[in-house]
Amino acid sequence: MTEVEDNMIISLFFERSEEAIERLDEKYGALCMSISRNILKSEEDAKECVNDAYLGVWNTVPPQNPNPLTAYVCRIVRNISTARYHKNTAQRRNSFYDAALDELAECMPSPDFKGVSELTSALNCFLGTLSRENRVIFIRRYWFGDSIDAVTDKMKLTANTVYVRLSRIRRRLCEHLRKEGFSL
Amino acid sequence: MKRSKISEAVGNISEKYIEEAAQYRPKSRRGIIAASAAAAAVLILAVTAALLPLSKQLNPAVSKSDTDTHYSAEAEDIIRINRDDLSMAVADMDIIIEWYDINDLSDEVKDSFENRVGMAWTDFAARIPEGYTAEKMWSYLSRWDENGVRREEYSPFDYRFDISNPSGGRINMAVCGVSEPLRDCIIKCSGASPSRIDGVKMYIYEVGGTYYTIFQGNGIWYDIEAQLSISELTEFIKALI
Repeated sequence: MTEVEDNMIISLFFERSEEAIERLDEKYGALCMSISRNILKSEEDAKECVNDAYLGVWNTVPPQNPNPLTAYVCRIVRNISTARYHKNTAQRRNSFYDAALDELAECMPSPDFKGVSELTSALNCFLGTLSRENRVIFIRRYWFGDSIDAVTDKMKLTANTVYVRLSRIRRRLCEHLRKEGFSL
Repeated sequence: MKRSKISEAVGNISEKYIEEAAQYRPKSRRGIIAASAAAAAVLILAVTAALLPLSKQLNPAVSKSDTDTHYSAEAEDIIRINRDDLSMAVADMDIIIEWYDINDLSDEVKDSFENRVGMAWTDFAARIPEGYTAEKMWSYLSRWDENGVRREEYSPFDYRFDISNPSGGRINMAVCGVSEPLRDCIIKCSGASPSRIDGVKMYIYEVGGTYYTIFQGNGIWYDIEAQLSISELTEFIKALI
């Protein structure tokens, strides 16, 4: 079946057609599952979170008319999955997401830092300074929670290249945050 | 900083970057010199010489039907050398050339190399086959990017190496991960026959005893001018791929 355009899917949501969820799942199901699975490392939890995310889209579109739809759906999946992750953390860890957060923690502000929105702004600014390829590597690893192997596969680079690049990007991020006045 | 806060800060980054990463596909590019002529013409500023009929001026001994086909020991490799009906345009390029001491590269140069080539410097250096020595490394800095967009500042476009072997063979090789490297000469050849080495298709031309080829292996573009035997060239290319 030909992949349905995003605007067609959104039209179906506006019409309150149940086909909207089917088409959404058809187009974004694999991506949503990979995000959730990376964070939770549980097929069952991931499926629940993705279903909850579809419900979230159903409940918010309309009135929302998201453009781009990909980022909108992915963000809902990620938010629901990270909420589940934090709830589960005490009992169960060891996901790709743990490893990614541990790497990133090296270059994040001190433990008592509270200004999350300031940090997000600094991250946005920093990402704008990276080459497109390095930015995608960073986002795939730390936003999508992809394993190094998954990033390697996606970017058609060697694992060593991805490791080295991530390490250098984190080092640059540290420098950027220090320049922006963050205490690391 | 707590994991939950890190997760929240990262989670809220701009949607445009999420979209970009979700939709990202590594570039696929054409791999023939003749086709590269058009792309290169966008990047260079002026072509200073008219097309020269090289088969007559530089290589008069070449016969009309002189496209050789060699089959290597490995049946899947096909080597075809295109010598006939070639023409070459020589170009001036608006570039700055920076030279580096290959044995003492700074982190900044290594980072820049990795950014443009898409491979860590150490990984790349390990691909140069045993017996070959990279003697010089330099970079072409251009104001034009790979999309033909002009910037104010010059920045590295590709990296180049002078390489030799003990039998006197010489290679001039340019590498770039995002586009075919810049060329100061463009070969045109109608009806050229492709070669295939380790599954990679490429067009090999010979002009005046020098082999020219452009190909893409492991996501990196290589532009090679080699004064080697064809078997040495084949082995060298296999090591890169």
